[in-house]
Amino acid sequence: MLENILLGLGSLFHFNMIAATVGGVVGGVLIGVLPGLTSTMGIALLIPITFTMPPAVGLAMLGGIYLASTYSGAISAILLNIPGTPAAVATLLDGYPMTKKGQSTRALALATFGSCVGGLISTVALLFIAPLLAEFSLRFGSPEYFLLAVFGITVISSLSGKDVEKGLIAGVIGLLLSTIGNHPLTGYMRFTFGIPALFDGIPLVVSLIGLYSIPEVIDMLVQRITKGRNRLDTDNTNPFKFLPEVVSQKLNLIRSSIIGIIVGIIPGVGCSIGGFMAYDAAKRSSKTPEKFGQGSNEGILASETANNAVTGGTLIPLLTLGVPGNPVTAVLLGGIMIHGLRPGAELFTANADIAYSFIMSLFLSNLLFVPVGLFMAKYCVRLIQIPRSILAPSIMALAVVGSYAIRGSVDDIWIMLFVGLCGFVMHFFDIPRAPMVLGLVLGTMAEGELSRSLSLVHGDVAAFMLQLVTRPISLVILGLCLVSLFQGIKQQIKRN
Amino acid sequence: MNTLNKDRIFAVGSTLLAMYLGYESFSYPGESALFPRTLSIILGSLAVLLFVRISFKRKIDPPATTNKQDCSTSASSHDLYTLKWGGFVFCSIITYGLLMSVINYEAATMVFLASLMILLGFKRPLAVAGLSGGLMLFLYVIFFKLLGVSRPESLFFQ
Repeated sequence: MLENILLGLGSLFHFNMIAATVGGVVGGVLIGVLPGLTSTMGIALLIPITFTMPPAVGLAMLGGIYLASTYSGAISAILLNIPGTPAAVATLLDGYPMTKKGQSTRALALATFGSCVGGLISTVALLFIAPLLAEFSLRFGSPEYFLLAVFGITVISSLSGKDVEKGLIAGVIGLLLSTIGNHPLTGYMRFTFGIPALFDGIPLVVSLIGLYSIPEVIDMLVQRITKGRNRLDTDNTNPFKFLPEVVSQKLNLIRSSIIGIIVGIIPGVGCSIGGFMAYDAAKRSSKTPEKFGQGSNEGILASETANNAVTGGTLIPLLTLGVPGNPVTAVLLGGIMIHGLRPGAELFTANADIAYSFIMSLFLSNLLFVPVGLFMAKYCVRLIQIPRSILAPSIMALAVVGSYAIRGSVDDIWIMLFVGLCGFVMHFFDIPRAPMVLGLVLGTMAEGELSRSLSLVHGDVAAFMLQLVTRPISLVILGLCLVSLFQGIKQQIKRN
Repeated sequence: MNTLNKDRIFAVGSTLLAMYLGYESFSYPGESALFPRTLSIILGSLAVLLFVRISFKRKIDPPATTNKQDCSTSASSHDLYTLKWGGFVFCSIITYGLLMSVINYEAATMVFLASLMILLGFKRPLAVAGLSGGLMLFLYVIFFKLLGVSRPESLFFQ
């Protein structure tokens, strides 16, 4: 492993890697600050740009966007009382009250340093846990991989919406969309309606762009009249003055990081839950719990450390098993796959240089967003005041050109628009889109592994079913699928 | 439209989709049809389950009557607004795509961005021209110069 770490470190010191990481971090900070833009949408829109880059460089850029946008949602939460991303909701509770007291720099510094520590600790966890889990995944056969795809969809479906059925329906629609084009083994054309552009299926990145940019732009235009402008309350203190205050909260930082990592590893839970759980834990163990909600430094540190620790945690099942824990990592999985890489043991053996370069670039991203975030915070927060009449057309143009650029085909613009229409319809009917993305991403793998499993038992469905319950690992994954479904149903009953 | 009606429409729509996809997939040969066929059966079952559950929920849990009319009026206007902007966005992108195939990328992007900015209420002509030109150039440099993607073919100004 040490050899691979050194290999990853070595590749990090190339100009392209550093430039891609810096670009990703700067872009991520901007994406996170703008409440209309989500990390998922940002990554989906920028995948076409990384498409022609070497895999390690492209992934470093996407990783930078993911980490920096998760962190920078705190900037608008602290300065404007608007969480730039859902991950920053817990930060809002103490961040904005601190700003109202005239201590915005202190709040920003605490959030930035906390995010950096959480991100670094979780990347260390990723570095040491992921290869072990990837080695374990060598014991997986086709039935296990098929069930892993089903598990990913059931988890997200059960936990991402108010109704389990709606989430599952979205997941199944995503799986059905992935069946468009030729069958992975027989090559038989399905649902193509004679359109040549569909023979190879719906391009993943094009559909991700459609699914996450079109409905968001429409939402942005619908909301543009209802939301007014916000006043900025900023001060000009040196942010590094607050570093000792962060260091004095060692226990809070470590506890929040551990909570974040565990929450991240469990698929479907998400950054905002991690932030709230760490916030709650910090409040319970605080000597001054009455200060929480009124600008507590412990509260900001806990929520920001945890929500950035979630990022490394979510990458563990993603890189080792191909199970994305949230929509952002589902899109990131698409980014990994278009570079011809497949999560699992192979990624840490045959493509170890890429995997370790990516992990090392995450360390760099975590360190980089401290100066970038602190420097840019007060400037880029003004971006929120960019009129939607400029932002919306810009996103649309980027979506159109980005979709075209994947294969250099105008047909992809129409495919993007079709998937965007599906996304809009789902958004209109309040159906979660994350399960659909997972269905799209995991569909080909699920169908391929199902076909391979069936061919091993000469097409006997009963023998295949028996395999699922007699192989120990597949039985465990099957159990996990049932647990996640049961959990979703239980939550739904509780809500109703 | 209230949530209950939306859920109903969605459930019925999903059932119809499942029926169509099931019908279509039953015409494919065995192995190639297995996955979509199974999925359409699951989709149909889930949609029926959703429909039954929301109908049952309605019977045991009738909607509150306080401010009912106000809420439904506000929800309806929000839905109409969403549909209106949805139509606007889709029509704009279709026009942009078609324009790109007729006149070239540069002109189509300029026209698309400038007209959309003006239509959405940004009224400063110089800023509109500058922003549209700047954005068009930015996308051009990133995709067609740095990434080496070939420009879309067009009828005129190639």
